[in-house]
Amino acid sequence: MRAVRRFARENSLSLVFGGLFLVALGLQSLAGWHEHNAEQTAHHAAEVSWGAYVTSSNFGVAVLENWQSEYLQFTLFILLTVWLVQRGSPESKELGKAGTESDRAQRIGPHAEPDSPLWARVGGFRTCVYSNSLLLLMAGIWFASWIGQSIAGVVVFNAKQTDHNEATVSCAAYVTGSEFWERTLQNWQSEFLAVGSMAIFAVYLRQRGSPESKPVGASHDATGVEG
Amino acid sequence: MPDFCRAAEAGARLPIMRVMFVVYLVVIVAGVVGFTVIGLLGR
Repeated sequence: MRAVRRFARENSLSLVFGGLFLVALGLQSLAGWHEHNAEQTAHHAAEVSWGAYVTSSNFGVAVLENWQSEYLQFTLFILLTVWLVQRGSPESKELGKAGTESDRAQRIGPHAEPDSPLWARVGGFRTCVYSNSLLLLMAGIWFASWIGQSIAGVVVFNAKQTDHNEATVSCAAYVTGSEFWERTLQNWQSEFLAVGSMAIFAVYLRQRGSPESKPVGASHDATGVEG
Repeated sequence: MPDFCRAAEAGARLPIMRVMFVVYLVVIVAGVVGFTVIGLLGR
């Protein structure tokens, strides 16, 4: 019991967000299912079960178009904050530290510490891969989700085309068409706005106790300081 | 706290965090692969 309590306490951030994700995904599936069946009725087509809806491309494209944009957001944020800075922002590195930094500063190879991960200590190819592993994973999830969105999207698009007695399109035609880019860019623009505004709002505003904010009393000029 | 104690403590906590790491990764991979396969099947 103590071990369970300790597990919950030490992983509360990932547990709570995991729970919120499952609840939101479940509610999205219910709302999407009702919406889908309303459209089916309007088109004099048979209603589908919840199980059929959540294993359909309709639900798949709705989920993946949001996943890809979130992972693109983090991919770009991780990559661009290596070189780009924002004076006064806790989301930015200190102004003079732009770049990939020295091996000593990154504690790799001969500069590793006893508790450093193995791949940070060994040097060579493995340390190179591990040095970029977060970016590689986030970019991989973004790209795979975007491919998934395009594949599920063309199925949904072609089902609508068939309903309206119009010609279906190939996957290549779909990913160069306006429907795919409208779905994609409506998500990207909101992510870019949220990240950019967060970086600049946190220069002047504070949340006491949050590592996403500077300490309340930190100066507006203090850069790369987390509270 | 001496360095070796910190290392031992970090080592002891690693598996418990790994559970969450693996759960998230499995959910994401299952979602992306699952919906991609559903799309490929034309469902």
